[in-house]
Amino acid sequence: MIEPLVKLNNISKYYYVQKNFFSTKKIEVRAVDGISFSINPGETLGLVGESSCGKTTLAKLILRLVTPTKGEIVFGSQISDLRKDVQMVFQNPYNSLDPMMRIEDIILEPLLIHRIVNKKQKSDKALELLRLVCLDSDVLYRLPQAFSGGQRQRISLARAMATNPKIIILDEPVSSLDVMIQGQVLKLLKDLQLKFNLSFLFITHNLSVARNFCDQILVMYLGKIMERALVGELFNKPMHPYTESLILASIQKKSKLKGDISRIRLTRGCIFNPRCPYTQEKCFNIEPILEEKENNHFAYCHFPLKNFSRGEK
Amino acid sequence: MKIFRNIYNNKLVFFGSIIILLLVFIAIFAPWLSRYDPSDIDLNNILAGPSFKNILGTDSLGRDLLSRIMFGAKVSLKVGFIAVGISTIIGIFIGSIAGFFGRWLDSLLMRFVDLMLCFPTFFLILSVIAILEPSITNIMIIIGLTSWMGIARIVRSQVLSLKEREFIQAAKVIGASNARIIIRHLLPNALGPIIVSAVLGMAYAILVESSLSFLGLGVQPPTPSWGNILIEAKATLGIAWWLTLFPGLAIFITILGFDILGEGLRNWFKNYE
Amino acid sequence: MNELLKIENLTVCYFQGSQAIPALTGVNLEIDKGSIVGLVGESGCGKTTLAKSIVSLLPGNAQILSGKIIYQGKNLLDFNDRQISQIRGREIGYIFQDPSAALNPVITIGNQLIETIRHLRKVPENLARNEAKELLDLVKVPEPGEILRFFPHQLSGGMNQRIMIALTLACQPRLLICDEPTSNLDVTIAASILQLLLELKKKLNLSIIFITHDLSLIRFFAESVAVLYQGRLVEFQETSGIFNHPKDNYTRDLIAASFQASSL
Repeated sequence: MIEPLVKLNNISKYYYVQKNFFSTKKIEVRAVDGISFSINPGETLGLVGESSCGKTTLAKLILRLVTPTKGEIVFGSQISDLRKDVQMVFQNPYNSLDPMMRIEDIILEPLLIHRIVNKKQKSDKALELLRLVCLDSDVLYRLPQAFSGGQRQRISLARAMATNPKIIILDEPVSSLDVMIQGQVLKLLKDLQLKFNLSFLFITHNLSVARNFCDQILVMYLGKIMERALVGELFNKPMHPYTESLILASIQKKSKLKGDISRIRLTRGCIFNPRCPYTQEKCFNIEPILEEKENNHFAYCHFPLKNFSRGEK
Repeated sequence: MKIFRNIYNNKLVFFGSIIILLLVFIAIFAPWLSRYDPSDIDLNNILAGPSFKNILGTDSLGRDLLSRIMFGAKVSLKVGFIAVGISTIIGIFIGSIAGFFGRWLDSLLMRFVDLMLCFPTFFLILSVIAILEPSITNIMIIIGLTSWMGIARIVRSQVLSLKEREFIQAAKVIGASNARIIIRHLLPNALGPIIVSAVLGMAYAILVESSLSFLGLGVQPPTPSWGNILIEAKATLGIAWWLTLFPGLAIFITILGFDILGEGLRNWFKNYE
Repeated sequence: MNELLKIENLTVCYFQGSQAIPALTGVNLEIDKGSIVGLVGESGCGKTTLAKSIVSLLPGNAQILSGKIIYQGKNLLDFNDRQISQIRGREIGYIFQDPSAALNPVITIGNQLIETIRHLRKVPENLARNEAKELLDLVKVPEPGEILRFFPHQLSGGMNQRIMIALTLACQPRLLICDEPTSNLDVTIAASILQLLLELKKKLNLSIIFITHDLSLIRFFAESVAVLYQGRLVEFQETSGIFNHPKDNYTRDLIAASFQASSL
């Protein structure tokens, strides 16, 4: 049994928002609601879900950028310093680099903070990091504004790689890039993973990217995990209706789902029941739990789907 | 070179900075530029109108007005720079702490700012100066201590919006300390509005200094300052128009210079973003 | 004559100081009545410039250097401002990528729709209100009567995009230009918006220019595809042709990249 790098035990984060301008009533919004999983060394864990399902909050919880309402996050013995061993690449490359800093200062900042390099080694280390992400050395003295989205994402990655982390959280790292650039960045990530035995937590809303990139996938909806399985299993035999409709929407551009996502919990029973096309009476009364339906295949559903057709012509 | 072309293209910045640079030049080189010592009394030549000998005329003690205005520029700019320096440092400090840490600290500091803004500043300065003795040092400090609230508010609002940006999150992820985040990441990005309000603050500080000197609570004679030249001119207002016109014009041009420079910089930074 | 819009040899430049940056070079394009043309390419290839030049919404530093945009036999580039505003928003509707930015945040959905309807046709308010409800029904907004009283920020992105479509349909356009209408939306919501556009096209005999960077959308959606690369139209043919026998190397690369990225 390998020791996981990080283990989340029943972690939750609730926010409280004012109902409207005049009322003092607060509404509870469960951004992350009782989630447990662990990340093993060298593994790529995909976190898939639509916007505002709590993916990014979960990432921030792991990084202690937000404090959990409930639950705990346990780091394995390999993680000695969270700020060194766990890094993140952000979604928006135009927003995640300080516009007033030169590239050299950006990628060396983590090393200066953790006092890893001295003045002499600085420029060598900077060049090494650039080589790692396949950028030329002439970028060092320029400002972020001179670069395209793909290049900025590489710079962001160089900064994340500077401290030799064990885990990198990738928050939609390619979703704002053009298709051709996406492929290059994903390939770079894979290469780095093999070379340094990195673990990735890969957050995305794009199922096809997740399928090509991840080993195991968690499907999130309204702060809860709907389904968890290995990639092949999940895409060939989805058990949860939400996973099914995400896959169908991606291949056929058709959606079976009713209505729209709503952040505020109104219903009893299963949280997915307002949108589910297969509801039965039980779904409105009892909330299901995430349980193992088959070997290593978990689903949050009373009536997991038996057969799945991709409906391709 | 590009920066000079940009400045030239931005007419407000261009004219503003020319006026200010000219003033700074005059203030620094006043002893060499002026033909007379500003406190040389020549009783044979009192209240002389503008002429070749005394370009802007002389005052009731026969002192050369041009020299006095040039030396007054030195006093005014010195007061402006140091007072604004003090207020900017206090403003940045309070504003960034309030904006960055938020919660009760923010409320506390901002209520303090509100409190400071409630006082009629000018009377506050007057009464403090009346208790202490009026001197250039005291004036600079007191103006600095009573004019930082605007900058504090601007810095706070900048910090509030900047700290939501992803690069600040990124800095936290790599383990940057709060001080590092504020100094290395937040303040450089808030520099534009800080510079603009500092430049506009210069105009305010110079105006306050002139007003204080005019009331006799500022720079004390014989050191010339635009304010105290004006008060001496008050007695001879009917017969020597140049004694009030030219110092008044000097104040006017200076304030105008700082104002259009500040306004121009504001537009410039807006376009830059 | 079956074509609704024809673009001939369109060349557009952006001026930055004294520099001219070409955005479109000699683009030719035809859109038939009741058909969907997909316009694909990477960011910065000139997709939006092309769309905006059709409705004369180009930014001030852009200039059309040559070419014709012929809409129902008339060259739109010869029109003056008043004439073009008769076409824009009435004959040709434009749907933006970000609906929450295109809707006015301080006016209710109902009032925005009613104002638009009354601006177009002089009808009394209660009739306009009914028409607004019908429009919301047409774009499949649940409980249209309720939604009329909402502000845009109270609704989700998908719902706002539906309302944007309803607002555009109020003008009864013949041509709809959709500029990445689904790229800000979640997959399931995007899919339902696409379904809606397809249904509306059949029901109202609309022509649609569908701008996107996502080839996989086009495949299910458009009848013909135009591929833009660095301001040039590199390929324009039927959808099946594009995917089965791409003629241009760039198209081939683009298809390969998007298949690699989206093999499911």
